[in-house]
Amino acid sequence: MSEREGSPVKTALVWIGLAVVLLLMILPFVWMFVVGLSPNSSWTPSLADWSPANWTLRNFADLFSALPFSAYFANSMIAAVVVTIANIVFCFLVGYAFARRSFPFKKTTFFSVLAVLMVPPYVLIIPLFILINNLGWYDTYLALIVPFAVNPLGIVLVRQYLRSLPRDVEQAAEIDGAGPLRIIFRIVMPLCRPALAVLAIQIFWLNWNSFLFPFILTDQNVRTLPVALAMFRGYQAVDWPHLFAAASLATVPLVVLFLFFQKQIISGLTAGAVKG
Amino acid sequence: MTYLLHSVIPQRLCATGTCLFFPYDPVLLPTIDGGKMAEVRFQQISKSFGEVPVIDSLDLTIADGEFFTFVGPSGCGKSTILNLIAGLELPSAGAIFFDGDEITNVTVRKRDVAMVFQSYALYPHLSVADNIGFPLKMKKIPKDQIKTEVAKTAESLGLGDYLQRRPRELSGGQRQRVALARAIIRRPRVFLMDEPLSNLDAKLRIEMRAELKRLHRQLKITTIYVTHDQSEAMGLSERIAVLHDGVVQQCGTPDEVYARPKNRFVAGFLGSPPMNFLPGKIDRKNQAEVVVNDQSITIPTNSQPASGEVVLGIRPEDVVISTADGHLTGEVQTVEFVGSGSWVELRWGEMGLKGFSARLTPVQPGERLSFTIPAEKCYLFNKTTGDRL
Repeated sequence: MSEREGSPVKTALVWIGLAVVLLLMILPFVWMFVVGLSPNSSWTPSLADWSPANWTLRNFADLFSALPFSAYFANSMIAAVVVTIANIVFCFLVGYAFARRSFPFKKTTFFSVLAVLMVPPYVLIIPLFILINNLGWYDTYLALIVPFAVNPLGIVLVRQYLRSLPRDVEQAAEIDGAGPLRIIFRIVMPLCRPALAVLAIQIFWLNWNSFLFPFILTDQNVRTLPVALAMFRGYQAVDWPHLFAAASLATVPLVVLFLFFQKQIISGLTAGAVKG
Repeated sequence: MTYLLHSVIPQRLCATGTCLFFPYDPVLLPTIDGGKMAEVRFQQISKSFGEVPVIDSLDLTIADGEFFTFVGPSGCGKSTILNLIAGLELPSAGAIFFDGDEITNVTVRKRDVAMVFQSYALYPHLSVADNIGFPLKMKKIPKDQIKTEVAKTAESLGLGDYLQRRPRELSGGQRQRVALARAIIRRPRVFLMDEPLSNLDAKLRIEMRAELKRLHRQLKITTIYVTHDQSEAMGLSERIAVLHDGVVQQCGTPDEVYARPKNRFVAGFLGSPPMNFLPGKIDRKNQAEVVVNDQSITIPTNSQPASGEVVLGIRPEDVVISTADGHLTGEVQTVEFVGSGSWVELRWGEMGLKGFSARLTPVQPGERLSFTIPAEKCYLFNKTTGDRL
């Protein structure tokens, strides 16, 4: 054992500590799946419910037969994917302009973007509702997509990332004969991939889980999954097994996303923490 | 399309027996545009960043096919000059000409120059083949031709086996050669090289220096090189310009600038170890006498400053150190053994002086040695202006 690994007791304690934290993190998810698979209607699974022999997919099947669950799922997916793509394109272009181009009032414009970050989203609820309603976008995909198509945090993220990159590669491309659009999309954009991956994950995750604005700006036509989940809660009781089954399905895209982009998520979390 | 015979780079082995660069037989270098070159002329070029002047009234002509180097300390404006030629920066005043045609306001893409950066500036997401072929792709050359050219250029620089790799999978020397290949593949009018060897280790640097010289001899493309390494500048170039604070201090062939420096800056910058400078005073008409510890050296001179105060310069290799009794003696402070002898730092009265001892038995610190300063090897500089007298 190398010196760096320390004593076996210390290593064991570290592993035990990590296992406890892992258990605390994973338990709610396991709980949710077990209740979703359980034939009972309680939110607390009995001992028998933990046995796979007793599990049933009835609750999951009900979601698709008794409710337009696939429509909710599709609405959420369309909104999250389109908003994510829009954010990648717009935040990248705006961030690039702030990082690399000179234009009048650049500083003022950038500070106004920063200022937007300080506005609490709740302040926007009423004006946004009135605006969307007046535009005739209420309960349409446009209401779910357009207001969220660009995110100031994404602009700042791309700008800061680009400022940390040397300009040599862009200059080399220019000298090699590449035009501005080719430099932006074929050279700079691939260079920004780590930042854009972090941005994409964050935006998808935020929009997939978004409840407040979809709740206010939509109704039956384009109801999203988080809003639909809330509908399982009635005045008198909560339909826990169906709610947990729906919630289990709702986590699937995020789990897949995290599995595929683990590296980028971790690098995004540690970005700026270590001077590279 | 024609090809230049590239008489190659002999197979060489390093001390460990590992094969070094270019273990290839003669190959053909591609010539996309027939190898047109350009004379580069600067006319009263000045450049400022805000209030800070970086280049001041540069007037200079670099001949067709010449290997020209700008050398100077960090921040002297040498990289800015390359950026001005490439079009990455625009001058605050003055004009730049390629073969008599003004290109001051011509866009970067239309200047037909190629640049090798200190950082290599390779496209990290593209393979070596795509990196090398990128300039040809921009020229909309057919894919088949690009493939052929890339293969030949890569082969000529010993990169044939790495074409499918990404830059991050290459060593520093290999990356440097990819950058060179990308520059030479389209036969530009002018090569610009911004300290291209400074990230390589000492051994690799010497290898690449020879390779650059060989490439220039074969391609005959006007090459403008920038470095702060004076030995690199003198070893590579046909002419060098020594820059200081944005002003060309002296321009000429390496031996000219080394042997006849115009001022104290040039004399001190070129040469390793640098020239010794000793304060002196002219006490008789047309003669300079440096007096230290009642010891004096007399040097004939044709001019003298009004104050009579001068600086005497002597290169360390010209200070003759011997054990025989000499006119001057000093105490050894430090010794750097370099194989053929030692560089010895002497304390001579209140002054420090570096000289070369050819003695193969080690010189010891604290030892007293005799030395002579040959008058014919000395330079005299005006103490105030720094100009050579």
